[in-house]
Amino acid sequence: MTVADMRVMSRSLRVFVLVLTASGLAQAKPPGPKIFCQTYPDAPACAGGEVACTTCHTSPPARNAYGTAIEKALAPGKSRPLSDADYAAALPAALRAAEALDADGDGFGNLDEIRAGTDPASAQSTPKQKECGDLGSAAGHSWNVCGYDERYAYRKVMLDFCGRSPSVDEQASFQKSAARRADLHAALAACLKTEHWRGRDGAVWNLAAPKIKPLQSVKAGASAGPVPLADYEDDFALFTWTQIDNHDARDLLQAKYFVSATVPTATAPTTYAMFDRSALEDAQARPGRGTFQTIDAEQRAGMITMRWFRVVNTMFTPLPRTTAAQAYRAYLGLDIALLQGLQDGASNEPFDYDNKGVRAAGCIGCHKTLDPLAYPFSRYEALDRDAKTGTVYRTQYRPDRMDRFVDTDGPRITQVPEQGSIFGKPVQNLVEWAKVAAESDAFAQKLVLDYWHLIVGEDPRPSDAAEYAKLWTRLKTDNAYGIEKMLHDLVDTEAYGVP
Amino acid sequence: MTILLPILAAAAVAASGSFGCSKSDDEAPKPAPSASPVAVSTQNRLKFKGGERYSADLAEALAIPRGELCKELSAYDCADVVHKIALGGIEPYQQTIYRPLPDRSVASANAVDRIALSGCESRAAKDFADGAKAVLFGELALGGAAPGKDAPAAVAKRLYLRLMRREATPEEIAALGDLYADIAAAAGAEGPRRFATLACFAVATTEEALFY
Amino acid sequence: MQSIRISRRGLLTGTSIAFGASLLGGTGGIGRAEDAKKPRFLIVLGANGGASLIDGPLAIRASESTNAATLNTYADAQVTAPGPGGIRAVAYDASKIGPIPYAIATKQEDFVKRRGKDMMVVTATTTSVNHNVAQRRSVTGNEAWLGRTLQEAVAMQYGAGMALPNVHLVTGSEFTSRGSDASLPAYAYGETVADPLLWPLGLHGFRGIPGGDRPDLVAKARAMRDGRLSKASRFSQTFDNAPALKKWRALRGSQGAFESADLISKLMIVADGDKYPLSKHGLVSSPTADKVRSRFPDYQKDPLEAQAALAYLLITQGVSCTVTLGANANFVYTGDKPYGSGGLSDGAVKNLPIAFDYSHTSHRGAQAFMWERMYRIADGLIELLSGTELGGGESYWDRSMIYVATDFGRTKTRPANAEDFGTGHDLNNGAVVLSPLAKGGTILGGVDPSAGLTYGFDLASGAPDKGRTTAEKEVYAGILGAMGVDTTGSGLPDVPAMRKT
Repeated sequence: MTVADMRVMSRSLRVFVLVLTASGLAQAKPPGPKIFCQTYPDAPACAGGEVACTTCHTSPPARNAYGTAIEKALAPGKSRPLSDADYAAALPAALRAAEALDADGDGFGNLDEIRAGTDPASAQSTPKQKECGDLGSAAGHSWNVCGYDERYAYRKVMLDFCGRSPSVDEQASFQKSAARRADLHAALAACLKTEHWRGRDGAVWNLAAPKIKPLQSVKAGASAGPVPLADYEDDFALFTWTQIDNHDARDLLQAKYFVSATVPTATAPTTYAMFDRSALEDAQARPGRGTFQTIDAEQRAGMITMRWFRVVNTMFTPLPRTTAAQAYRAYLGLDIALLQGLQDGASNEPFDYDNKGVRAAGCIGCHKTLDPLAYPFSRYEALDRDAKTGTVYRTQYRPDRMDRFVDTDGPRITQVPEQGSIFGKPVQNLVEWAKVAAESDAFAQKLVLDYWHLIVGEDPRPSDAAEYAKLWTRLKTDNAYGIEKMLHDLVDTEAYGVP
Repeated sequence: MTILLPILAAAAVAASGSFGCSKSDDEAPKPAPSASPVAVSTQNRLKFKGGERYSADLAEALAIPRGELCKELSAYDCADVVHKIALGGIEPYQQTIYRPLPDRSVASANAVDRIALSGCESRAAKDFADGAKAVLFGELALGGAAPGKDAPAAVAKRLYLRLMRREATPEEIAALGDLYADIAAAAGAEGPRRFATLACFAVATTEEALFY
Repeated sequence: MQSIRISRRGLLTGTSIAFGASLLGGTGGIGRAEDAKKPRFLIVLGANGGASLIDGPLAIRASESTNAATLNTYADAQVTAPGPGGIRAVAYDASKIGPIPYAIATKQEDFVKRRGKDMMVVTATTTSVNHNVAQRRSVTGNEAWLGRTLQEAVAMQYGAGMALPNVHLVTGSEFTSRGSDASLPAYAYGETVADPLLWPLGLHGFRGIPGGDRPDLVAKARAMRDGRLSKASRFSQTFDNAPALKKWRALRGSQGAFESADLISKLMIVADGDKYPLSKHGLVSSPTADKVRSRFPDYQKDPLEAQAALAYLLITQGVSCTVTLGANANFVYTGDKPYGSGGLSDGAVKNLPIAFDYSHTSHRGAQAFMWERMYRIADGLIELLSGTELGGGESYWDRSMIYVATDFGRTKTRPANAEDFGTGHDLNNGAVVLSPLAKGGTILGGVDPSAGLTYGFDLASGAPDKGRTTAEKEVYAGILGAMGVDTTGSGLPDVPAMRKT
């Protein structure tokens, strides 16, 4: 199937409307995490200014035991759903009402757990665990469980980043070292160069899979599937490039260049090379169905304007809400389907240019954020082409893209603006959108969170909040968005190095 | 408050014999200190090694090429194909499994056993085919001659050194000595050969070998 | 059938106790097993991408619609109503499916005629047209019961004594989403199977592996490992309280039960041969594999047939009370011609790219191809389950339900009189349920032929009600009701209209 063959599809794609029930909106409120920290500003979990949704929820809007306890005390008797104002007014009192309760039944009151930085919803997490006696660091013990143990961290570094356990000799050498912390970082630096870490299908490469969502059957290029639409190897290569050698990770959303990756052999590891071509040049250099990139540098915004990203998310959609939602989720950690990252404000959005009923009561709560988030994506063609132009590159940036949807979506579709907003801030186009996104705290937090999950193996615990906050703030400042520098910080955390 | 666990009383084992690996006999490490209280972790943030790391470690320890470690039905790689997802891997391209499964399952436990058993059996077969070039089981692979009384301990020490990258403790050496006796009683003349595979299997599938 | 009797007894005897004790970790499953009702079986068949009811059981004849030209209606001759209750069937032929040069000639009539008495069409209007969100809501009723999925609820009700009560056979779908109720015992959550053909090998720790020919000796090694070596390890002592180790120990405790139950044989679909040399490795096929393979002959080429084959074995061998299968998004194409070389031979295409969602490209071709695919798989399962005795004069099918879960519907309009057109996502649709436990031969609700929109029904009587639409929560509750799940305290509505009286 060629792109030309698929023009029939252009008539078809309708709408990806995200609808949430009224009850859903009532159950989870974006202001909740902030109000929690206004109530408990000294709580360790509030080191970043807001607590995680998981403080009260399992998967929002479903509540955990602590959230359930709060809900019971939240404006009792008042009809649901609560308005935002009622919710915000009632939450502090509900938090206090739940303080003396023991939601998880572990014998420690909720307030004690909040103050101690343990999880009031988990019986596995108790203040008692914070205590530690002298014996933990006594001679003869395998590890010092009461403090950072470099020997323990060394084994983890070798496994996490090199993909293997240290040898007997390596351990002996480390044991003898008078500068273990420095040796630990040297080991990390070496591991960050290994195929296990940075190679094709390595740890970093695989980290991109949920963001890229590859699907072999529609892959183009090498090992193409039967319906080649685009080549996600370009996406994996760009992703990996931005995460290694302390390249600027903001290029995830701002890269104007592309990256190629070699196929490793037994003797030659994967190598990456940056290249910059116009869409025309790339088509000439990599001819074939779906094999080349089609956006010129001026309109590029890293991963979110790659051909594959547009193919699998925008497909034929006039207003690419799914694309915007995936960008928001994958690179900013905000899942609108879970009511995350919703913006308050008095705008008149959504305008419902495509007549999908998004102003209905059950829809407007999310679409107020989602629709203006999606407008800047609307000029980026994905799969279809306008047969009138005769241009070879059918999936490029086209300011007049909306015109061709009049037949299927009505004349108002042409009024969809390219301007939109993100985090409530107006942007002129997707490049601006991406710049705001890349500079945001959410972007840095998401970067760190992905690696925290990979390396620590779980969500940050409430007691980790300060270390987690330090990681992402330093990523933005001292570490200049260098992921490898951040990883050196990460292995220095107690979350990583205390057995 | 630190929680203390009493260590099982150490069984006295006369630990002699040679060590392999990278150390000469003269440099052979002494058995680890005997029982002392162990401080229990308060963090408990263990991770499963996963199929890729586990197989890499095991292949290196057994001196077997990674690709020969374990193949189901002699055809399908255990860790890379058949049990990849159960062992925490992903397969994003065909099966669209973009993230590791959050939990292990009984298939994970079985997969580990199968990989370890396959690798250990392969090593034992090689060592017993040519005892002079044995990597792990030289004291047992004597061309049909009965192993010496110290052979189980020597093998136990080497297994820990290669598989766990540390010295065996007296308790561990004693336990494998008991396993040798048990298997010898059940397997007769096959005892040393069976013990080689299964002692390796037992050590290679301990919790310490699988989590970090 | 002997294996069935053994499996059923196993619920109350040694096998079930072994599974319960080892897998549940003291969460109370053993007692539940003894109290459990005679099991019922839920098969969730994921119609990935939007299975449109008006292209199947609620198809609209052009003569019935005032907007026939621009609405997705079919020529009168294409639509029949062969089943009870007016359930409809579409006949659709085309020389290609959009740009895919694959000719189809589908006819739903045979299936509807044969299975109509167990077929219940439930209209509904859902709440999301995002694939992932919508799929999850189709199995959680939009988080209707603390976020637990239908499969988890059924596993809770009937699965306490089973080895793997809830098995997920399809990957890349949110129909297998894990529910958000973290309070359930471990056995209730789904077990993922990536490859139905080779997965049974993971149900035994050593059979088929060199060195595994002396189970008694392996048992000695394991006992030494778990009883002494791990306990002697300072690593294990230090992390003795780690949840990961506790879980691992529980899993290890269950290995023996799986091995004793011989699931590596009972669930082995493949035949002994060059590709799968079972006998050379001391392995065998399932005793019922011949029957399964003959009903799903493409099991080696078509992942959905392989899933269905294993689904049948999981249920009838007493391993599971709920299985989830479905078509994923991959284009599955086999045959002797490379794609793009011209017309594809009959049977070459097994699955369309993005499944039902290929309706974006070619609505009618995609719907026809995929509905036929769903019906064919369901038909095979019904045939097999009907022919397998559960006991007491009942077959497995008598206590089973196939829920054809889908994301949402498709947009209802088309360019005037177009035969080949594309559609988008639409909240308005419904679901198909096949089960002797449900009110079969029934359409609950109806469809407005002038708009293509479905409308609801009275939850008690089932009478059509043009003034209401059915919510996800109500469909969820109705399915659990028909499945006999105890929903006390859930706050779910009662939906007797969906139960067989």
